[in-house]
Amino acid sequence: MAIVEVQELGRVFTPRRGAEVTALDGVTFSIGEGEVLGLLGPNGAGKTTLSRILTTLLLPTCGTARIGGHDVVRQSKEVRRLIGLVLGGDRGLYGRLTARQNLLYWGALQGLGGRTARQRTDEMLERFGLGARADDRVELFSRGMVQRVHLARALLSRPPLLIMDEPTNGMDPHAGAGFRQLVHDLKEAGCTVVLTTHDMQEAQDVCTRIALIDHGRILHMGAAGELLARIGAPRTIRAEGVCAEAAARIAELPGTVEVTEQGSLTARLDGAEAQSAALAVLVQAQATEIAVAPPGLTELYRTVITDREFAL
Amino acid sequence: MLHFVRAQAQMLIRSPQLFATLLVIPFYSLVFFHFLKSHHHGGLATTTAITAFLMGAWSHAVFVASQTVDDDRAQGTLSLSLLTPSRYLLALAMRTLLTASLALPVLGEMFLVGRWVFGLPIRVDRPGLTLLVAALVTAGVAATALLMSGLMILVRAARSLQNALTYPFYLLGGLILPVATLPGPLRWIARGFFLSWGAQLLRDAAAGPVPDLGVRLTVLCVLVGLQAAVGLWAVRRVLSFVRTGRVVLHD
Repeated sequence: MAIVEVQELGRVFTPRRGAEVTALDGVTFSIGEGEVLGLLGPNGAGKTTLSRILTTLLLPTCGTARIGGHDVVRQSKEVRRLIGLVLGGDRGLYGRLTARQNLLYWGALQGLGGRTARQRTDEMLERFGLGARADDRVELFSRGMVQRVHLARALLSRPPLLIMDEPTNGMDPHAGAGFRQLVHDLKEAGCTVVLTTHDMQEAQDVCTRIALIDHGRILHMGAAGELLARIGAPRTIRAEGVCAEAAARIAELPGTVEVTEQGSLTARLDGAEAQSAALAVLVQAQATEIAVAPPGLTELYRTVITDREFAL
Repeated sequence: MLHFVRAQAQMLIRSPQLFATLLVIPFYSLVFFHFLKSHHHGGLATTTAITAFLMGAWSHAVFVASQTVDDDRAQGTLSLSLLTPSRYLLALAMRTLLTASLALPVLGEMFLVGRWVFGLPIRVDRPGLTLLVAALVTAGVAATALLMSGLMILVRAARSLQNALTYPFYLLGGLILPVATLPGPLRWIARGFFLSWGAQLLRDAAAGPVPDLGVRLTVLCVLVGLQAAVGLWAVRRVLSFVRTGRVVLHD
């Protein structure tokens, strides 16, 4: 059963000066209960706008979105009871309050009674390994710890749908691994998760489905394996000690090739023929450390999403 | 509700700069009372103390208490709070009221400095009524702070207007000149302003029996209530603009 149903959802921003900006352009999809949907796309693709509409923080200009059968525009109160929101970064908590005080305050905002709020706060502090620092001010916490408080806050009301906007932004690898385990646990517990991220490995690890978004539209949607098979992203060829002549010959093949001054080559070539030709050139040129990696989400992303060369 | 008050109290305790009014007014009072004493106008000491308290309460509301929403925006907590807009509004009202009430002890400070440091004849004939009116005025200035905080989300330049929101209102509140001496239209505006009613009631409560007490207290309550309604309405309206995308929080 779908917990999120989105139909032709659109959002246009009209600035006081300048042209209208279409942040979302007729998006349609649904998410089943217990799914983890990853939203991947470049900055400005429309991921945050979509998250904000689903959490009732922003009104759409056209289309509909329903959470648990409730319309996000007309039944926002009912929708808010079903969702938890996690934002990435250091902000979003009261730095001068302790972790416990923050959670109690948010519990009160969510309408939890005093005893329930205290009980759940203790529960969440233990669950996220914050017990020992529960009475320290949040402004003294590392980013990873702040992120754990964010997660604890979002889960206080035990929402069936969790929307996370770049939650691992700035987390170290251990904290990232802990986060992935948490998402697995939430999925096991039947919680539905919408995860916006730029971390392809994280998306591949935790998401049951991926939506690739750009220019406000969903370009592709499906399980990672399914998308990789459907889109046919190229394998990555890597080699060391590649001479300039060999690099130039490989660069003539269809695809993208990057070579450093030290002779490290990374090539993503279109089609098996070009890949074989490149390997033959590398062997002939006596390149070392030749490796061929199967395509992952990064390759898929780079195939589908246009490179804007740092342009937003 | 207690959670909201407690959370704000904890934030206030850890933000000593917010107590500036409490600390600064006694220093001003040294100047005021010194003038009164040197010019043999000791009889004006009570009025001076009340006026200094009202000015302190108003400026504390305009400069400090009105920052609550803007602080939430700066900390990135405003977006998340909008997931529970009704309770957030309640939380905001309680937090603003608590912050505004930091100015209440100023009244006591003024009386103490005037009487004990300068030996001026400061007396309050009806302390209970004085305290009640001071509390009502504090509620009124908190409501003003709510209105201001809505304005600060809506208009980025509102911060630069804060200074302009003190002296004109001291005039309308009858703190600088008696309301009766104001020009016609301003006099009418002043009569609909809770601060002028509060100021006059405080002066009368200090002086002795208060004529028409019931009616005047009712009018003050109604005006404070109206101010609170306008403040809450303004913040609710501004927060609804955020949802439409007309106001960007940048958090």
